[in-house]
Parts: sequence; C-alpha cells; structure tokens
Amino acid sequence: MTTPATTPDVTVTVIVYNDAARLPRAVASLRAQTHADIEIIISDDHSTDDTPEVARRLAAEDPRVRYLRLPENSGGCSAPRNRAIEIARAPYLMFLDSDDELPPGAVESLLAAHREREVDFTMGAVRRVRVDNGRRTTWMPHLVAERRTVEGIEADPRLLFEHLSTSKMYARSFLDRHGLRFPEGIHYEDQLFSAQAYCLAKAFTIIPDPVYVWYIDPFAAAASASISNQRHKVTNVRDRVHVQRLIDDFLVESGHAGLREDKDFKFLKHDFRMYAGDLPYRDEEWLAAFADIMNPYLDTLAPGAFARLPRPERVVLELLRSGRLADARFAARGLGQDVAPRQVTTDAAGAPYWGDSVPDTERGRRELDVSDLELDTRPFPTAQFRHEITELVRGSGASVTLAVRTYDPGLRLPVGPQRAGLIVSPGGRRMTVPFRLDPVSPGVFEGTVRLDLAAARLPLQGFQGIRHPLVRLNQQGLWNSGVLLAPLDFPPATTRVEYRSGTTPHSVTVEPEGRNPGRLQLRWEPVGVTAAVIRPVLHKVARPRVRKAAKLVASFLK
Amino acid sequence: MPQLSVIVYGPNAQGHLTELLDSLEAHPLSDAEVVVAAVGDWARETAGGHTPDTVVVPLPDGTTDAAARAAGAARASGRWLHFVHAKDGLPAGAPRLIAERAAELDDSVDVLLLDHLTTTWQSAARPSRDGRFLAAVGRADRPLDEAADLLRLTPLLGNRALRREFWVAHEERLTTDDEPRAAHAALLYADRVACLNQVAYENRELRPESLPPLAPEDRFGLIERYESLMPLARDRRAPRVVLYDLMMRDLVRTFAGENLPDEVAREFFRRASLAAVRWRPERYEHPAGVEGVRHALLEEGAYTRYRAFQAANRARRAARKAVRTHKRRLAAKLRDQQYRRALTRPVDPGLAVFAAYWERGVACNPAAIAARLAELAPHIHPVWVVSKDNTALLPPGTDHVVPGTRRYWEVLATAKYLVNNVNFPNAVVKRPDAIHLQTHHGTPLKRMGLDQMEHPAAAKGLDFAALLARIDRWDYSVSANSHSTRMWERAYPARYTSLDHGYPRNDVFYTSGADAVRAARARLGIAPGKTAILYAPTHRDYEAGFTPRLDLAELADRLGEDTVLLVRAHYFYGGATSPLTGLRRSGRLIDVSSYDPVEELCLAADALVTDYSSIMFDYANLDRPIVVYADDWETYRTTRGVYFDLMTDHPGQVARTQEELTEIFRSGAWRDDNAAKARAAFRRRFCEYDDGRAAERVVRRVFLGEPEEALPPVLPIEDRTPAPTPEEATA
Repeated sequence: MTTPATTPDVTVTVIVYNDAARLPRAVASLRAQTHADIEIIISDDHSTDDTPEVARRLAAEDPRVRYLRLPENSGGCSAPRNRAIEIARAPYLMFLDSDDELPPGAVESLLAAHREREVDFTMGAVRRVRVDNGRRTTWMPHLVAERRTVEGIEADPRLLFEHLSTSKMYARSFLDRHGLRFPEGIHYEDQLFSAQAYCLAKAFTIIPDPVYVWYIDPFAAAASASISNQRHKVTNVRDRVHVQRLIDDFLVESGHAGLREDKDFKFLKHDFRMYAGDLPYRDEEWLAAFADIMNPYLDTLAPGAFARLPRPERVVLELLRSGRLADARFAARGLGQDVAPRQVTTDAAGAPYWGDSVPDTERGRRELDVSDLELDTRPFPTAQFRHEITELVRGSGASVTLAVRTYDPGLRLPVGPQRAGLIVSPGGRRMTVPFRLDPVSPGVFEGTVRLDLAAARLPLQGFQGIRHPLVRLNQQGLWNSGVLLAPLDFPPATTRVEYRSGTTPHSVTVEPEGRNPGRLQLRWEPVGVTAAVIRPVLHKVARPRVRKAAKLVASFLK
Repeated sequence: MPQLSVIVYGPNAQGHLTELLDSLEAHPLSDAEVVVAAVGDWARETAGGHTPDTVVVPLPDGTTDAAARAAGAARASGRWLHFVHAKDGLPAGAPRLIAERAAELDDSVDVLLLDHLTTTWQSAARPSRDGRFLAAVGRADRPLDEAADLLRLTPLLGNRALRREFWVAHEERLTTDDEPRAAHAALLYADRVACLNQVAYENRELRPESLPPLAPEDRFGLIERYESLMPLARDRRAPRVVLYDLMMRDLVRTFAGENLPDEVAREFFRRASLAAVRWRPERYEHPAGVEGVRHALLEEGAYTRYRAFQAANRARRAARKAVRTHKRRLAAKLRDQQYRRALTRPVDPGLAVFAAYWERGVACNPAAIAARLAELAPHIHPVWVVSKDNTALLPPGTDHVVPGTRRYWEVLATAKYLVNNVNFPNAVVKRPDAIHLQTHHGTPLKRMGLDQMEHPAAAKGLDFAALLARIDRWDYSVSANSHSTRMWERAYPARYTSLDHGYPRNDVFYTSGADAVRAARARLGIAPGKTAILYAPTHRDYEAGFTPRLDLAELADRLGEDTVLLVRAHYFYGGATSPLTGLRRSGRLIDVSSYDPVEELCLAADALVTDYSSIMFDYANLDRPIVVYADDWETYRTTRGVYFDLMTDHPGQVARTQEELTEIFRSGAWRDDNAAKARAAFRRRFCEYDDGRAAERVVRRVFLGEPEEALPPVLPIEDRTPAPTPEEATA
C-alpha cells in the first residue's frame, strides 16, 4: 500500500464481499473517472473467495487504489463503509457497491456541485440497468429532473423516496460534525443513514446527471439474491420494520416529527408495496407471520399516509389489517395493472365495496370503498376487468387450451356473448385469437380459447423474448385490453416449433410468470439455424441507420 | 351560490336548442342554474318557453359566439361555468355530474375536463378518444405541466368547465371566436386542472356544407391560433412539446388535405414553416416514417420538394390502389371460376350448409335444425356460413366458412342441403339436385316480400325481380301457423312446399324443464321471487337511428324493487352516466341487447313487453303474459303495412302510452282473466304447429326424406305442456 503525499479530492469506497468476478468492473469505472484526483478504497468484508487476490492486484496496478480487509465478516454494508471512512483522506466521500458502477463523469459533476455552493452533500440521478434484459431506467426521475439546492428536507419531503446512500457525495465535515456513520448490526442501514443525512443536512444540491449505475437482477434465484431482495424471509420483514421504527424515533428526537406522514407514505408506497406484490405467492403461515409483524406497525402510521395511496393498495392494506388474509392475496394480484376486483358489494347508499360484503368497521368502509375506481362509468378503453385462467390444457404441438373467466364487477358488458380476443405480439407482429365469452352470472363471463403458438407469424430474424397475452374486448368500436392472470403454478412445457417450414425454428415455452401479477408467460428462444446463422448475420447488418431506412421503405411500401 | 352555471349560448342552429332545453328540463338540477344567451328571435322564443327556471339573456341576431358566451357568463352566479353551445346536447344527468365533481375541487383548480360524445347527421353518440388521457390523470388535480397530454383532448369548450373567478380574470384572453384556441388557452392559463372521466357533453358536428363557407385565406387562422398559443407554453417544456405536436399535425393536415389555390398554399406553407422553426422545442424528435419526412420538409420551408413528395406519395397510393383493385377483381374472377368448376362436381349428399341472419352465426331455426340433425342424421356434416367478425362467437369446434373464401364457394356449390332463415346471396346457383330450405325468422305481422311494394318506406329500394329469383330457389318453407303459410304464399309466390311443422327454434319452449328456467335466471342474475319483464321492441324502418320510446328509469321506479327489466334495445352507450347506471348496478335493469340465444331470455322472463316484434308469437308458446306497447301503431301500420290489426287481435293487453303500460303492471291487469282470454285466442291462432317436435319433423322430412304421413302429428294446443313459469320453477 503506497500513500501519495498530497490529499486527494474525493475518496470513493467500494465495499465487497465474495464478489471477485465483478469487483474489477467496479474499480475500473472509478479509475476511468474524468476527475482523476481520487482515492479508491476497496473495503473487503472478509471475503472467502478470490476477492483478496483480485483486490491486491488492482491495488498494485494503480497507486490510487487502497485495499482494506476487515478482520472478520460483519454480514452487512455498514462496517466496511465505516472502516473505510476512518482511513479515508479526502474531504469528500462516496460509496459504491462491488456489483455496480459509477458513470465516468460522476465524481466530476458531484464535486463541481460541492464547489459551486457549500452544501452538506450532493446527489444525482441513478441509472438502473436490468441484468436480465438490459433495459435502462432512471430511478425516481421526477426527483432529480432539474438542478436545485434543497434547504432542508421539509422543502421537498418526496426526496425520502430516494433512500440510497450510494448516489451521493458527502462532505466529510458534515458526517463528522454529526457523528453520522452507517448503523452497524441492522439491515436496510441505507434507509436509516439516508433519513438521518436528509434531516441533518442544512442544504444539499441535486443534479440531473447520472452519478450511479445500479445493476438489478429482479428475478435472481432467491438464495443468491442480495440482502434487499430476500423478501420471502420473515426475518426480512422484521428487519425492515425495525429500521422503520429506528427512523421514526430519530425523526422525533431530531425534531422532524412533521415529516412523519411523508415518511410513512414512502414506507407504504415503496417498502410495503414490494411485499404486497408477493402476497399471492405466500402460504398461509407466512401471511399470518407477516400480518403479526406488519399490522402493529401499520397501526402507528399516520392515517393521512394511507389516504395518499392508490385505491388498490389501500384495499390490500385494509384486508391485511382486518385479518382477511386470503382476500388480501386476491386483491394483491395485478396491483398496478388495472385489474378489477372479482366482486364488489353495494351498500344501501350505492357505494361499492371490495369483496362480497359491506365492511363492518368505519375504517374498513373508508378503505374498501372503491367508488373512486369508477368501475361502472369510466370510458370503455380504461374500464377494469379481471381475466383469470381457470383451466389450462396442453394440446398437440405448441398449442394450449385455456378456460378463461372474466369478472366484470362494474357490469360494463351487456349480458350476452362477447367477442373477445387473445392478443400476443412476438417480434412486433400481432396475433389475435378470437373467442367467445358467455355470461354465467351477473358480472361473470366464461369462455374457452385455443392458442396455437405455431400459428404466430414471427419476423424473418426470429424472436427472442417473453410475451404475456392480453385479453381484448370491444364495445361500440372502442377497445379494452387487460392482462390475463394464469394459475400461480403449473408445470412449464417447452416445444420446438419449425416456423416457416423449418427455416426459423424456435423453442417455445408456456410457463407461469412466477411473480406478480402472475400472467400466462410465453417464451421464444431461437434455436438451430435461427440462432446459429440468421440472427448473428442480421445483427451485423442491421445498424440503427439501416434499420431506420428499412422502416421508412417499409412504411412507404405499405 | 349554485355550484354550476350551465351557460347555453348561440342561435337556435337547425332547431337543436329545443332538444337541449327539453333534456335539461327533464332532469331537474339540484345545484346548478341554466343561463341561456339566446342569439336571435327563434332562440329567444324557444328559451322563453322554459322560464322561470332558466335565465334568458336575449341577444340580437349576428352576435358572435364569443360575445354570447361573455353575455351569458355575466349573468351567471355559479361557482363553475359550463359553456354549452345551442347546437350541442347534454346527456341526462350531466350537469349534476359536473356539479358534484366541481364541489370536490378547491379554488386552486381552474379547469375541469370531461369526456364527450360526438353526433353527426348520420351517426349518433359516438364515443370520443379522450378517455385515455383523462384516465391517465385520474381524480387528483395537478398543474398542466404534469399532465401535458390533456392538451390532446378535443379542443372544445363544451368538454371543460371553468371556475367563474378564473373566467373573470382571463375573460378577455379567452374571448375569441376560434373555439379551439379558447379551449387550449383555458388549459394553458389554468393553475391546476382536474378531470372527470365520464361523458358529460354531446358535441354535434353540423354538416360543414350547412355552415358559412371558408375563404382560402381563413386557413391562416390556424397558424395564428398556434402563434398565439405557443407563447403561453414558452418556458414549459412538457406543454410546449405537446402543443408543438398538435400544431405540426394540424398544419400538415390542413396543407395536405385542403385543396388551396397555389398562391394561398405558398403563403400558408411559408408561414407554417416559420412557425415550425420558431416554436420547435429543444431536443424535439420528429415522428418516424413518412410523417417525419413531412415535418422535416415543412421545417426547411421546401415548398417545391414538399409538393414533389406529395405527388410521389399520391402516385404511390394510386398505384397501390390500382394493384389492390386489380388483385381483388382477379380474385373475384378466380373464385367465380372455382365456383363454376365446383358446380360441375357431383352434389355431396353428406354436406349441409347452414346460415342465419345473413352471416351472424349459429342461431334461430337453422340452429335448432342443426342440433336435431346431429342426433337424427349424424352422417350429414353441417358447415356454417359466418362472417369474419362473428367467428369469435361460434361455439368451439363449429365447422364454418367465411363468405368470399374459396371453401365458402366450394361448399355452397357441392352441398346437398342449404338451410337459411334469410336468403343466400344472389350469386348462389340452385342446383336441381340440391335442396334449399327456407326457415324464415318469424311469424309476419308487418308486410313482407312482394307485399312491401306499396310501402316504399319499408321496401327501401328492394329489388323485387331479384327477390323473386331468390325465392325461386326455395324447395321448402317452414311455417309455424296457417297464418304464416297463407301470407308467405302471397308475399313469396313460388313453387316451394310449405312445411307446416312449426318453428324449430320454439321447440325449446316445450322441452325445457324447471332447471333450464332456473339456470337462465341465474345467468341473468334475477333473484327468485322477482318479476322479470322482457322488453324487446322492434326496429323501426322509418327511423334512422335508435329512439328510446320508454323512459326506463321512470318505469323501473314506478314498478318498484321487485321488478327486473330485461332490456333488448340500444339504450346504453359507453360510459355515459345516467339514471340507468344506478339501476343497472342494483340489478333492476339488465342490458340483454346482445344476449344469445333469445329463447333463453324468454324462458327467464315472467312477462313480455314488445311492440311489433315477432318475438310475441314465439313467447306466446310459453303461455305467459304479454303486453303490447304500441305508442305509434298508426305510423307503423301506415309506413310498414301489416297483415292483421294488432290492436284488436292482441295477445293480452295493449298500452298506448307509458302511463297505461305502468298501470297495467301496477294494477295486475297484465295477468288477469281478460289477458288470459286474449292470450288463449292468440295462441290458438299463432302457436298452431309449435308443439316441441318441429325440428324433428323438419329433419325427418327434408334430410331423411320421410313422407309427411310418417311424421309425428301436431299435438293439439290443449295437450301441450309449456316450460314451467319462473314462479313454478322456483317454487
């Protein structure tokens, strides 16, 4: 370990635990920073794989890199970060996880914001990259849309949603002045640390530039998922609630009790929402344990926080709080996908309530009143239905016969047979399979549709990806499409389909989605000549410019 | 202070003000007032008839719309203003809906946006495409910059209510005769906007030819509109991008769509090009494809190149059209040849083609015959003719052909049996050894066939020579009673054999048991003990669209909670809230317009209300009460022509007004002895052959070739047992 004579401008700490594979990428992104005068500390939480060798090699390659190895494993992110703060020499500090990266200009732009105006920390946009499909999105884009300096979190409590500690550059003096360190021995330390930083800071600057690249693998196997992704464990729920209580206490102690409703709203909208999406997949025992931990905490939240949520989320919360766990599971399916309840019940005054009864408590009536979904009056294209597959029978080849039940709690469809269509669009080409939905009782329709995936028209270059069929309904020339909910679990089946008489073969899989909302999932995988010849060749030829020109020509020839 | 002032303004254009004011009067407003800024004498007289509930502001002829709006608003006292042009309409209950939504909004909200319908002279109440923009915003109010897509709503004043104080503050800037400009400007000036995602306005588009003509120079008004609007969005990125989109779309459309004189066109293009460059937002991306090329050329101001591009595009379209027409003709020729060739092949005795109501699907008498055929003659394969749209509705596994396809012509050419309840197309050739079975689709009350010659309103340009050619193809004609047999003889004079076997579709009224009745009622959601009345009016030839003849909300109200109305008419349109919505929600009114099969509805209903629909002859089989509601019997009899006087030979009771109809049900007259007596006579006459075995007789006679004597004889009407009534079925 060499120590240069001068003080660097910024210290960036990379924490790592048993991640020798990705550590070099993280460090490389730091070494490639446009602002070169930085110190890089690799803080190793006592890894047991090749990490130490890799880290030492990296340190040997670049004098700016220092390697710090904890004497024993701490199991969290806090200890490695705190140890690094102890030895960091720069006046500004940043943190990076070994599986993520910093964009090249991150340090430069955050440091420039510090130099422009004296603030306690600066923060920027986080770019999220999905490992499975490469899709990029900006995390909480509305919060970081414009450059601004916020004088105290009260000025914009929405920022509580941006609870990452990594996308920020802290003035060391700020951390030291308040003795602010990452809390050790708990999970979700980021949330507490960020809440404290937001509350303690007199001013902080937000810049719209991307300053952090966050790689997420939302569907990684549960075992290998990072700590924050292990929602199936009851201890995970307990940890999350625990950290909330710590934050709540801190808000009171630090004189920020006024932020409570905003913080509660953030908890419901973000943290609780993640569990809510999983509810359909949990067994009764888990649900009971979940309710035991969650409900006492929910009782302490500000009522105003509930009122700010979209109605479907309020319904799930209320069903959970009133012990209707099986109902909560139903209500949680298709959250955010405009899926209607199976049934609503109207009271004497005409107000519709979720489910088959009018709630008997005042809170229940307030939370389960779904009038604001306007089920019976919203224009047809946005009307809400619930399409469920009740039976799924494999046919010959790549065909599958589905028994579909459609719930229409708003009684939008005239009682009579409906022309429905199943829509799947692999490779941008739409396949519509018409079928008939017959009324079986008020607001319930049933039909059967045979979906033959060999009949799909794939583009020349084939198609690789997944699709979820939609159910489409028509009324007076207006269309309505809704997701098709499948049984939560059924054995997947893969078939080889010789599209275009064998010139573009694919393997096609019919499977459950396996996560909320639990749609029917179809997966196309090019095989044989499609995978070996056609796609690689086209991939080489079809540069964006060629593609654009081809599109124009195609639109002209239409 | 009322919550809402509805300000009706403008002249009584084409007399539509009367309808508007009548509809407002029919639904009294609780928290709203009506101000009529009546332009001209006619409007003043019309509005005068509606005082004192409405405030009338008389204005001289020629007052502009903008001035009329201002004059009306000056007299308004409501917290919110809704400007309604005198030519437009308000769906029932719309003002109440707006007032209720407005009451939820605080004073930071300036504009409330609504959904609307569009009516033209030839189409009634078409839904708008605005719903998705309104839905995206939901019920929370927000500044326009966070919901800029709301600018994409149809720019009408009628689909937005304005807070009065906001109007007063911006009156001058919103007073313009260019309505879209005022509509956009209201949004751009507003602090916050809110949405009501429901239909609360009906925009009537008058025929452009009935309005004063536009001079070519008037097109510049479009550019001026956007030149005046764009500054309002100057430093607001999101609204600016949307407005720019709209501007480019309108400019390109106007320029391309209108045939402007060259000089005007050049000037328009020059100004449009300037506007396109001046207001282009930073980092704005043109749309893809041809539209993007147009935008780019407009921005460059390349008039000549644009024209060349336009010409090229037109040539391309013309070429494509020519190719397609040619292809179509070729295909038609090919099909015709294939049909001719197929006609030379021997007839296939194992093949039967079925069709009902043109290409609607498996229905009516043909469906009942096909079902029986499958039991009695399984060696004959049925193929249904179904239009492409209706294939979705077929029962799974039904073998079918779509008209115009190769197989369609093949089966029509080679099938031995052709069964239809209407006629097959003229092009279908009758082969000597093929058998055509005409089942008809109802006992005739109105005049049919040649008898329509004296009733041009009904005949509507029917080609009687072609009709005769079609009926000459019939081998058999199914009849349900001797009345039909005789009437078909005169309406369709040809050498077919009448099968006096009864209507196959009515078999179900004798073969169904209590479980079928209960199942049908469960499907419809009619609780046991409730009285279900099926209301099935017929279509009027002398009316262009659908006109409601009954105030269903009132009828349902008067008949009370224990009555369920099953309505088979087009009373309902997408999403419009009306008193009917509440009735539907509570299950007291069920929209069965598209229900299929209709026989099931009959089984479920305790009574039938109809006017002249042939459903009454079928329903009479059930021996359940029937009430004829004939408010326009004289008109119908004169325009359509009838075979007998329904007013005297009716099936139970006759009502001439809604009041009488209500009374018949409230007093119990619908099922008293008089009604039973009339029904008995009616049944004797019209249910003559319907005994539950009609399909069997038809199949055995036509498909199995049995002689008439071998068929089961028709059971006398006294010995028949119809399906149990709902009361009996649920007892």
